[in-house]
Amino acid sequence: MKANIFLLHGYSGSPIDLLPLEKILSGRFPESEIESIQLPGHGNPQEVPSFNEDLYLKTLADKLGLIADPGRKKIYIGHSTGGTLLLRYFRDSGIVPDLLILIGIPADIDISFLERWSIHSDGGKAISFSSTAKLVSFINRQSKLVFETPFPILILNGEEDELVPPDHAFVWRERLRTSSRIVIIPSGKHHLTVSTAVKFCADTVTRAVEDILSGHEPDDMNAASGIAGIEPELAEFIRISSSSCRHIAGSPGGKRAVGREPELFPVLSTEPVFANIEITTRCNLECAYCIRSGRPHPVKDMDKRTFARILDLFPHAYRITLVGLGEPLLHHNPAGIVAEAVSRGRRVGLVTNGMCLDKEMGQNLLDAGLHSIAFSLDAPDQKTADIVRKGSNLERITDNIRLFTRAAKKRGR
Amino acid sequence: MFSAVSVNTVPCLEELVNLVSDLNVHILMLTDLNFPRNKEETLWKNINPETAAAVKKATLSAFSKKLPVLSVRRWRSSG
Repeated sequence: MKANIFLLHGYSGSPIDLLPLEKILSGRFPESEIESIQLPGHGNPQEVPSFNEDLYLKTLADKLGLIADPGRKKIYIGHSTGGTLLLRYFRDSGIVPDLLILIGIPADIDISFLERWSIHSDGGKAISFSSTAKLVSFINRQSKLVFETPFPILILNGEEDELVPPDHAFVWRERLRTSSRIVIIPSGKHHLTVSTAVKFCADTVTRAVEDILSGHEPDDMNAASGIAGIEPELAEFIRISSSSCRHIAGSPGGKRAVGREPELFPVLSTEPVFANIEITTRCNLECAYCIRSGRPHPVKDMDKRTFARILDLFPHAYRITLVGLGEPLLHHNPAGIVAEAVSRGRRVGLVTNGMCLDKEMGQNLLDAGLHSIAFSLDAPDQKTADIVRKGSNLERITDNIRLFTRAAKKRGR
Repeated sequence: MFSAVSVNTVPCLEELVNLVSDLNVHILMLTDLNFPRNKEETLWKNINPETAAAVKKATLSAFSKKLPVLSVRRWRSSG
């Protein structure tokens, strides 16, 4: 499958800003047509032209409206205000992109931008008062954009973006209510594509483009359907994330589902479909055989946003297991973590020692949509438990397990 | 249910199976110990007819209680 890939720079920039990314995409997708659009008046590194919303949108209509090859996927990449312009263009034109990639786009502009702009421009480029007013007006008016037809959006933001902090990416996700994924690029600045973060940025972009271009091969669909026959939740996940079919089909389980031998070496060409995530370092036991025992461990819970970031980094991992050296139910809000993953169509399980699984905790986890649970239990009596699982209370654990399994059964799980 | 079994706990494996079978769980997964520091206490390092018999007896007991048992490959070859 070929694509038309368009790149659009930000208000104070030019196509040069996106050139490193354009080159990487050209090398990776030689059969696709890649075009970097230059907004009128842009290109002079010393000068920022007057902001002209109508002219910019007309330019986009002229450039993009003529592309009508149904055999090609349409992928658009917008940086900063360029991303906002693309969003507005799609809303006005009704065109539905196959994939929209937004890099460092501001959700709104307030007074805090003054200082950030000063740092970003480093005293180089001055914007007139009139242009600033028009820019602010344009950006802030887009806060109520609504799209009739959802389409996939990948939002990238530099972790150290000096102009548009990562918070803006999360505001856009809430606002757009479409199938969007956020990837925060470590050490990335506002110009992600010309900084040291370009490799991470380009890798994320090319993987997303590959997913769109790879389509749905019959074998992939058969493999995914085969597994969905065993795990009905997978069908819902594929509905939300259709591009995951290829990765599920390429997984060892997916290959077995269509009678092919799994190939694990040297490296799978597809991305992980399972992920084990440790949401806390805390534990209430000192198990004899655990590598954690006897070692000092910093006490730390993963916050929900970090957890969400991990899910975004593994968009095809439909099975999430909360497990690790820490006891997940000691996290300050395990049900909230479960709900976060379930809301993205993931199938969530966890491994627990059962000590904290009281009635309320159990109900909360079931309410959150927990799909499976594994209890760690190595001793049939308290005497043995005191040796191999120091700190555990066998009676409490078995009571908790009985309570939970009964509650789960009542809910048909 | 996820249970790690060592050469020290394998004698009470059948008792563990009896306890687990009463907890309404769907599957019992048995594993050997991991981490290099536990090597000397692993089943695969200490496998002998007595240990193998204990594993087999416990597994059959689980089956008789309609409790499916999953295990890693090396473990299976031990018992």
